[in-house]
Amino acid sequence: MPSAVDRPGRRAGTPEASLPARSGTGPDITADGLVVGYGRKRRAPLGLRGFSARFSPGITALVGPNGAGKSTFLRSACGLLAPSAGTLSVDGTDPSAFVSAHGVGFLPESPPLPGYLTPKEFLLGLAPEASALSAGDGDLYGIPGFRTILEKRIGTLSLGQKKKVALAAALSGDSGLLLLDEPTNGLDPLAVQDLREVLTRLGREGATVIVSSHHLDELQRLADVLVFVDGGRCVGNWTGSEALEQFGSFDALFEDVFRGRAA
Amino acid sequence: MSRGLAVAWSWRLPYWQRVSPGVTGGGLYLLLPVLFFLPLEVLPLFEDRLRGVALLLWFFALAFALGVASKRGVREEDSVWLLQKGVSLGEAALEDWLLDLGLNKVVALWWASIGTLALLGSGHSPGLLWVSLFALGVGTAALTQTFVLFLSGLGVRRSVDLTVLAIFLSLTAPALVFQSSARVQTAVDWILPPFKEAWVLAGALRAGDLHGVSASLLHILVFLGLFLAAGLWRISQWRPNG
Repeated sequence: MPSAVDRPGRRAGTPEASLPARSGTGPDITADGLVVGYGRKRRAPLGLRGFSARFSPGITALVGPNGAGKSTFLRSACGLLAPSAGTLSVDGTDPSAFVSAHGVGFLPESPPLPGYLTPKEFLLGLAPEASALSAGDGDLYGIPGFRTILEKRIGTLSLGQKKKVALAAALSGDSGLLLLDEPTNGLDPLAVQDLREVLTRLGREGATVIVSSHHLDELQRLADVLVFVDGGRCVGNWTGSEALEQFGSFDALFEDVFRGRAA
Repeated sequence: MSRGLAVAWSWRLPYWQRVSPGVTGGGLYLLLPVLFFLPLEVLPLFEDRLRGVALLLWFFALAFALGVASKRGVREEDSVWLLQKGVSLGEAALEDWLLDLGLNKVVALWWASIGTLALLGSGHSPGLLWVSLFALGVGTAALTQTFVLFLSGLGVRRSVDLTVLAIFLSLTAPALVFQSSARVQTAVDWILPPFKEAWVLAGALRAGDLHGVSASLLHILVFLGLFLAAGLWRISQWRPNG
């Protein structure tokens, strides 16, 4: 019997051939005056300081300089960080409650992986459908070459291969919400291209996908909506078509927003 | 099968195989009881053969449990994966603890059986010997792995050092407070992790002292319940990098 991760009916090797089947649309995420700090009392200056934005199903790119608060928002949206002020809701509920009930696909910027496990063993603990993973033809989770590393120890894999394992972990399950922090770092061009196709398809199917990245050219090909973050606040948002119409490219928009703020 | 158990099975078995004790380490621990057949009574450290076997078994159980429990449990770095898939960290840690306890029981069973064989003809009842050696091994291992879990829950990185210190205090406390009142001695006895109770339990079992057995078991179980609950509660509060 074909598994959820290895469904027939599509050309083997394409991302569509091996994604978990999703049900329903992704959640709306609403942040209103969100304040999140780090440290024991959550008062350290880094983090979010009055971040307000609304995220709908589809692909949203979080754009901003280093330390702007992008990763903090992604961690907050999956319930790993609690707000110290303001509100954050996922599908109308607290993020932790949503994650407990539905799960989420979250890829941290530096994903910690247990080196003594193989990718198959690692995924087996996280996603029930992973029990059907096997070596053979075709890509798993739409990630090229992932099947060939299934039985190798994670500790022996290259940086790019480890990133693929972490991506597969984020993509596993049926959450409808994907939060990806710098997902293309360390991936080869083919894997970047395939990841784009995977995310585009998930977005088209109604998942809520939020991607943080510094690769503006990549985001230009991917994102439906852009949310600019700086100093822990949302400093503007555009739909992809608006941005291109007004500025010609995401690079030009980025320059306009951040150089303008710096000036 | 619960999600926590699924995680524990798919992550813990490879951990035993490849990290601690590992295939080589596991084999070594299975071979160690050969030492029980040596004339241990000639060593000034031991009064007689029985004490030699018991002390060695206690040391094996301690080292084995400490190695397995301390190198990697449900650590904070794993929590980012578990939390995002809706797996309870406390539940995953409890499943790990149960699996480790099962492994410790199997190993203690082996050691107790070989120890009993080595002591056959020593004048002790083989049945009572076996039960007391098994209780010594399992009790020591359960106390050790629970204390390590508790320390991990508190975020203590050097859990091995602190566990060894707690064991030292537990074993030497009676000597340290012997001039104090009975009330102080009882208080110290209940405050410190009861590592010495595994010895007391084994002795009471061998002597057929039911009252002593019940008291020691109660002490051990109260400690296990309290420290396990506190450790699991702290682990369930973990949030990575935050």
